[in-house]
Amino acid sequence: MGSSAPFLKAIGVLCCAAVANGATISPEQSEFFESRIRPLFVSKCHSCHTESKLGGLRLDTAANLLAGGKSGPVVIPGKPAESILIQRVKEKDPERRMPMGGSLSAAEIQDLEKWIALGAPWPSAAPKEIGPTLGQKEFWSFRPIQKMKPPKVADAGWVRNPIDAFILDKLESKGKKPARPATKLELIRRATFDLTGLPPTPKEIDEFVADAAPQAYAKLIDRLLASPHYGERWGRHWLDVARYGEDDVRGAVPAGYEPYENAFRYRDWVIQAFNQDMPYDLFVKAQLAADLLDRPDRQKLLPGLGLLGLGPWYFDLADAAQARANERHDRVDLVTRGFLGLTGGCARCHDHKYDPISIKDYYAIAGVFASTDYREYPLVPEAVVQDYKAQEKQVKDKEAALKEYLNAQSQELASILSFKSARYMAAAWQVLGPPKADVAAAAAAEKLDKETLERWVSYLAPQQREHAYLKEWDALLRKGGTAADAYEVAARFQNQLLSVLGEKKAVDSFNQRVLSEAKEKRGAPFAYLPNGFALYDGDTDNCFGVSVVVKSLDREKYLLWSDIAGERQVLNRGKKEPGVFVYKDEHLERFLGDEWKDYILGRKADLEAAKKALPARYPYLQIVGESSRIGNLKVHLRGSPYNLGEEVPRHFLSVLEPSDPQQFQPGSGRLELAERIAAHPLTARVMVNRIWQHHFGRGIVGTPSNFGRMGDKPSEPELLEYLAGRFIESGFSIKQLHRDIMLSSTYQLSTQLVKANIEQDPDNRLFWRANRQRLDAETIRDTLLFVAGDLDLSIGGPSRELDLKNARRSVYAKVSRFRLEPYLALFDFPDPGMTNEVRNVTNVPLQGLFFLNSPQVSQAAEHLAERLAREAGSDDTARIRLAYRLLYGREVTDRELEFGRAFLGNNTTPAAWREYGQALLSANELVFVN
Amino acid sequence: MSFRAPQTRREALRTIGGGFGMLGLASSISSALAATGEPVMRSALDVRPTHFPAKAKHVIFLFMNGGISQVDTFDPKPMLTKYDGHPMPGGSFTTEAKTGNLMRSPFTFKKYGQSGIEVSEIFPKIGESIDDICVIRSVQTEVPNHEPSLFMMNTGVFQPGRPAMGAWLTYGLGTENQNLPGFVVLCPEMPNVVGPPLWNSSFLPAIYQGTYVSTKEKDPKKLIQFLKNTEMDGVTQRRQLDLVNQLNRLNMDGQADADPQLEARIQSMEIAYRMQTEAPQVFDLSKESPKTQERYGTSDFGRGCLMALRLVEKGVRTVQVYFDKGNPWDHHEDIQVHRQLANQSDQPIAALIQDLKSRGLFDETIVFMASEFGRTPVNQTSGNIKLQAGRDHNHLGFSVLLAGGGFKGGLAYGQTDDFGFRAIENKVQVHDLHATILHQLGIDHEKLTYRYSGRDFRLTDVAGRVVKDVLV
Repeated sequence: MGSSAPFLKAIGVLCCAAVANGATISPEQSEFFESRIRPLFVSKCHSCHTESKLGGLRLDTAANLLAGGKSGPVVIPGKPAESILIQRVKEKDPERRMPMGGSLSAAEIQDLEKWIALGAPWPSAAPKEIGPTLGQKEFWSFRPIQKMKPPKVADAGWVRNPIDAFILDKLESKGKKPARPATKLELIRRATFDLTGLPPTPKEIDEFVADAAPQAYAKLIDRLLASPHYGERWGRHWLDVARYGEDDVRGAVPAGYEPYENAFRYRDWVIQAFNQDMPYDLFVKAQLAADLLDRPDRQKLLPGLGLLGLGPWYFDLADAAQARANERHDRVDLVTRGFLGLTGGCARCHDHKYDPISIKDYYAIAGVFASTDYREYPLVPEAVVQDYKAQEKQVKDKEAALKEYLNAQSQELASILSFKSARYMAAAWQVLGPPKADVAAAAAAEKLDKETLERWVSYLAPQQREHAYLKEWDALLRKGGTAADAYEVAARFQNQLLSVLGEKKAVDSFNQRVLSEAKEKRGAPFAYLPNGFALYDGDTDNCFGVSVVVKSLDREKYLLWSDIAGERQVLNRGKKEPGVFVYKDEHLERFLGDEWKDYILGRKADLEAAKKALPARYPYLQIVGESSRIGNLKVHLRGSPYNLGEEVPRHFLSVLEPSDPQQFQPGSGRLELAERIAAHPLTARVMVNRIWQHHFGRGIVGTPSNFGRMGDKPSEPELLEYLAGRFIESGFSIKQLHRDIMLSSTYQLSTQLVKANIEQDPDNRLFWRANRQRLDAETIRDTLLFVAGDLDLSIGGPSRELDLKNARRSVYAKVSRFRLEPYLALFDFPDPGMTNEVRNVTNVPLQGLFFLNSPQVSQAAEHLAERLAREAGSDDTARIRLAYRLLYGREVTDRELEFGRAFLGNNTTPAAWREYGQALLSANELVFVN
Repeated sequence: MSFRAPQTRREALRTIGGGFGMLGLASSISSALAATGEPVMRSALDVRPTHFPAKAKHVIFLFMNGGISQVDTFDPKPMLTKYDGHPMPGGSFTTEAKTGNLMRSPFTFKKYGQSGIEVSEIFPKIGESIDDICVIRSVQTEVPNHEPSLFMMNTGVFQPGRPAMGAWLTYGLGTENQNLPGFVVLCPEMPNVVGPPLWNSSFLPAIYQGTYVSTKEKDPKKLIQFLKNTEMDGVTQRRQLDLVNQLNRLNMDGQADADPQLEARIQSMEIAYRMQTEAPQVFDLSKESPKTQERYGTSDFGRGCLMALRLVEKGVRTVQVYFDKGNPWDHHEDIQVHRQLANQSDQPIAALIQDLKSRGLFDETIVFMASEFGRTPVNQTSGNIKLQAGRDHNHLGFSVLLAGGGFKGGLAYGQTDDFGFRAIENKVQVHDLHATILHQLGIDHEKLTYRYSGRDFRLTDVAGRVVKDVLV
C-alpha cells in the first residue's frame, strides 16, 4: 500500500530495548504490550491523548506516559492502585470516568493493572500508525446486519407483526403494558397526515368507519401510499436531510446572488422517487453518481445529482481557497451525516475525537468532491441551446453598443459644457449674487441651457465643501462684488477645472493600460471556480485578485472632478446627485439633434425587439459532473487550506471498509463512494431509523444523523436490526417499511397516558403509546388551505413565494438559504444551509400572532365560512357540524355546539361565521395530531 | 423534556381567575404555579439561571459595518503623522489588496475626561462620555474580508452556519419580556452583506433567531409580522380568543392524557394577544419627549439607538443596531467620509449612554460598538478605486468600545504598534470579546453549549478568554 495509505498497519513487534522504568523487558512483556495494551491506548485513548493533548496528557510514547498530564504522572510503574490511569478508568462518576463517554471492560482494566504491576514495560519500537482496529470496526452500527428473530411474548394476541414482538417483549420485561389502541377516527387522521401531510376528508372518514372488514385499515394504508401526495410529504422529509435550498448565502457583490432557477427539478425528482418507491440504494447512488451509473435509465436519474449541484457554492471573491474548502466540507458533512449517520465533518481539522475517522479519511472523501464540478445539463437538444446563446449574445451586444454610444455622447457633451463653465458661473452670479435674477431669465439672457444653469446654481450656492477650489467664489458671494469680479473668479475656476479634467483623463488611460496588462498576464480567472457562478471579470474597472498599483488624482482634484463630471455629494442632505455636466438618458437626448435622436430611438427599438424575441431560457439541470482536474487533496492541517500536509488518495472511510481502503481512480470516485455507501449496513440502519422517527416523532436512535459513539444508543437495538434487515431483504422498499410499521399494533396505539408507565418512562422511550405530534410548517399551511377548499393539489413545478395568491402546497415554496421565507422560519423550518436530522418544535407568541392576525388565516377563515354556507346550507347546526368534520375529522359534541351557537348569536352574519371559523382554525385540535 | 405532573398543574391553572380566557401575563401563571410548589413548566424563552451572578442583563451591539478605521477614531498615532507619505517600516504587506505609503489621519485628536483618553475630532460627543467607556485598541480577527469577519464578529466562526451571539444569549438566558422577541436586529434597510445569516439561530431552535426590524418603518404596528388585525376590533378578537380557549379546554378534558404542549400553546396565544398592544408602544418613538428624540439626531442610526434604549428598557435581551445596509464604513478611497458617518453616529451613541445612565440601566446593559475589522494605516493604491485617500481592511489590530455592564469606563486597553497596524500588547481576539461579554451576563462561555451533530458547540468554539482587566 505504500506510505500514502491512510493508516499504516502495525508491522510486527520490533526488538525491545527500553521500558518505562528503565529496565529491560522480556519478549513476553513486549508481546503483552503490543497485543493488549497498545491497541487499547490506540482505540480508547488516542483520540484525545495524542495531538489534542486533552488534560495535557499524551499516551503515545513511554516518555509522554511518564511525563503525565496536568494532574501529574498518570502511571506509577509497579503500583496500579496508586496510578491515576487506573483510578480514572475505574471511576464511578461518568463525568470523570475515562475514556470519556464510555468505559473499559473489566478485562481491559485487569490488563492495564497487570501491565502497570509489571513495571509498565513499553518497547522502544518506533511509534506506529495503526488503522481502525477490529474492535472499532465492530462498533454496533458498523457491524454486518444480524438476523433477528422476534422474541416470544406473553400477550401474543397483541402482536400483529414482528415489530410488536420486539416492543412488547421490552415492555413485558419491565412489567409494563401498552396503552389502549387508537380509535378508527384517530387512526385515519393520524395515518392520512402521516403519509400525505393532509387531513382526511369527511367522505374518506365515513368510508373507513363504515368498512368493517378486517382488511379495512390495510386498505387505507395502501390507498395513502399510492397517493401522489405521499411523495410530497416524504420527499420533503428527505429534503431536510438533503439541505435543499434554491440559492446561496452570498456576499457584497449583488451579481453574486443567483438563485438556482432549476433547483425544483431536483425537488420534483425526489418527490417522484418516493412516489415510485425507488429502491433506497438506487436513490442513494443516483444522488451521488447518476452520471456515472451504467444503467439504461441513467437519464432519468440525473436530476438526483442536484443533491450536490445545488450548492451551497460559497461567495469567493474574498478567499477562493477557503470558499472551495467550505464547499467540500458541506459535501463531506452532508454525505457522512445524511447517508451514514456519521459526523465525518468533525475530522476536518484533526482526527475525530470520538469516532474512528481520521483527518486523512476526511480528505480522502473531500478529494472526491474536489474532483467534482458544477454542471448545467440542458434538457433540450444542443441546437436549441446554441440558438438561445446566440440570441442572448445578440441582445447583450446590442445593449452594450447602445450604452457605449450614449456614453460617448454624454462625454462629448460634458467636454463641450466644460468650456462654457465660466459663462455659466457668471450667469449663476446673476442668480446668487446681488442681481437675484430668476434662473430662467438668466439662462435666456445668456443663451444658456436652463437645466445646466440650475445645476450650477445649486452647486455654487453657499454650502459645506470638501475642496478649496471654490473658496474664492464663496468669499465673493459672502462679501459681495461686481459681475466683473465674478467673471474673473469664474475664468480662473474654468482654467483649474479644465486642467483637472485633463489630468483625470490621463490617469484613467494609464490605469486602463495597467489593468488590461494585468488581466492579460493573469489569463484565466484568478481562482479555479468549479461552481461557474462567481466570475467577476467583466467590468473594466475591476480587477479583483490582482495586486496592481494604479494612479489616482489628489483628493481635492478628485472631489472637484467628481462634483462636475462624476457624482456630486450633497453633504448636508447625505445624498448624491449626478455631477454638474453629467447628462444621461432622456436628459442627454435633449441636447442632441433630430438625426441623433432618431438614431438612438431606432437602436432602442431594435434592442427591445431583440429582447422580446429572446425566448425564456431553456430548461436545464443544475447538477455536477467529473472535474477536468481530478486529483487527491493534501491534508489541511488544522483545517486550513493554506497549511497542507501529506497527500491522501481518494477512498472510503477506513473504518467502514472490510480491509485496507481501496483507492478511487481514475475518476473522481463518486461512483465508488456511492456504491460503498449504498451497500453498507449502516446506511440501511440510518434510513430505517429516519422513517421510524417520522412515524413516531422520535427515532429508535434519538440522534438520527449520528450513529457514532457520541450519538444515542438505540433504545430497541434488536428492532432496529430487524427493520434494517427487512429493509434490505425487501430490495430497499421504503413503502414496504411504511406498511410494516403502520400495520403494527405499536403504531396503532392511542396517546393514552398509562400511569404505571409514566413514572419510569416519562419520555415514552419504550414506545408504549403514541406521541402527539404538532403539525410542521408545511402541514399547517396546507391544512388551512385544504379545509377552506382552496388548496391547489397539482404536483411539481417551479417554486413560488408564499403569498396569499399562492394556493399550492408548501413543499413548492421557495426555499432560500439567504433569506428564508418568514412563514417557514416562524414554524421551525430547518436551516437549508446544512443537513437537518430533526425539526425543532417550538411554541412562541409570534406563532400565536399568525393565527390571530395573519392574512393567511383570515383568508382561510373567510373561505371556510363560504364553504360551510355553500355545502351545509342555511342551518347553523349543519354548518357547525360540517366544520368539525372538515377540520377535526369528527362529529361536534353538544357542548361545542352550544359554544358555537353562543358565539354566533342570533343574527349570524358572514362576518360572525368568519370569526367563528378563525377560532376553529386556531384551536389546538387543528395543529396537534393524536 | 421530562414529564411533570400535569393534573396538579391544571388544577393550579384552573384556580386562577376562572379560566385561561381571563389570564393575561405568562408570569402570573408562573407565579401562581410556583405557589403550589409544583415545578413550573418552562417555555423556551423563560429566564434561566446564570452560571454565576450576572453583572449585566442586556447587550446593545452597535455595528459599524464596513470597518471603522482605528487610527482615525480611537487609536491616535503621532508617528503616522510624522512619517506621512513614507513606506511603512517592515516592508510592503498585503491585507486585501496592495497598499501604498503611510497616511496620516486627516483628523485631529483631543484628550477627554478625567481619563484623558484621546478621541478623534469626528467623535466629540463620544469623547465627552469617554470616562464611561472602555476602549480596547488591540482587537484581532482572522481574515481581512467583510463576509468572514462579519461572521466572526457575529457568530464566532468565520464561515456560515453558526448561531449569532444574540441567539446564543436568548438560548442561554431566556428573555425577561415574553411579549417581545428576545433578540432584535435594527437597521434602516436589511443589511445585505451576508444578511440574515448574521442573526440566525442556525442549529439552535428557530425561536432564538434575531427579529429584523427596519428603523425606516415609522408605523410601529408594522414592525413585527402580523402584529395588527385589520379586520376585527379588540372586543371581537377577545371574544374570539375566549372561544378558542373554551374549545381548547374542552378538548383537553376529552384527551386520554394531559399534555403540557397543549397548555403551552394556550399560554402563547394569550401572550400573542397582549403583544398586539405592548409591542407597538415600544417601537413608537413618539412616546419619547421631543427633547429626548432631538438628542438622537435625525439619522436612521439615531432612531435605531433610541429604539434600542426602549427595547432594553422593556426587557429585551439583545438589540443589535447596524449602521446601514451595504458596507457603509468601508472607505477604501476616501477616509474623510468617516466624518459624515461619525456625524450621524456620535450624538446618538453618546445620548444612548447618557439615557441608559439616567434611566438606571447603564450598569445592567453592555453597550458594545464594533466593526468586523479595522483599517490599514497606509493608503490603498490598488484595485477598483478612483481616489487614493482611503484605507484597506486590516484584521491585525483594531479598536472596539465597550460601556456599561461592569466594563471599566475611562480605560484604554491594549496597544497597537507605532502606526496602529498590528496589536502588540494585551491582544484581544474576537472569541475573547464574546467570552468577556458572556461573563458579564453570568455565563461561563465554556459551559454555554448546544449538542448538535454529536458535538457540543459553543459561541467561542474552542477558544475564548475572559479579559478580566477591562472589568470593574
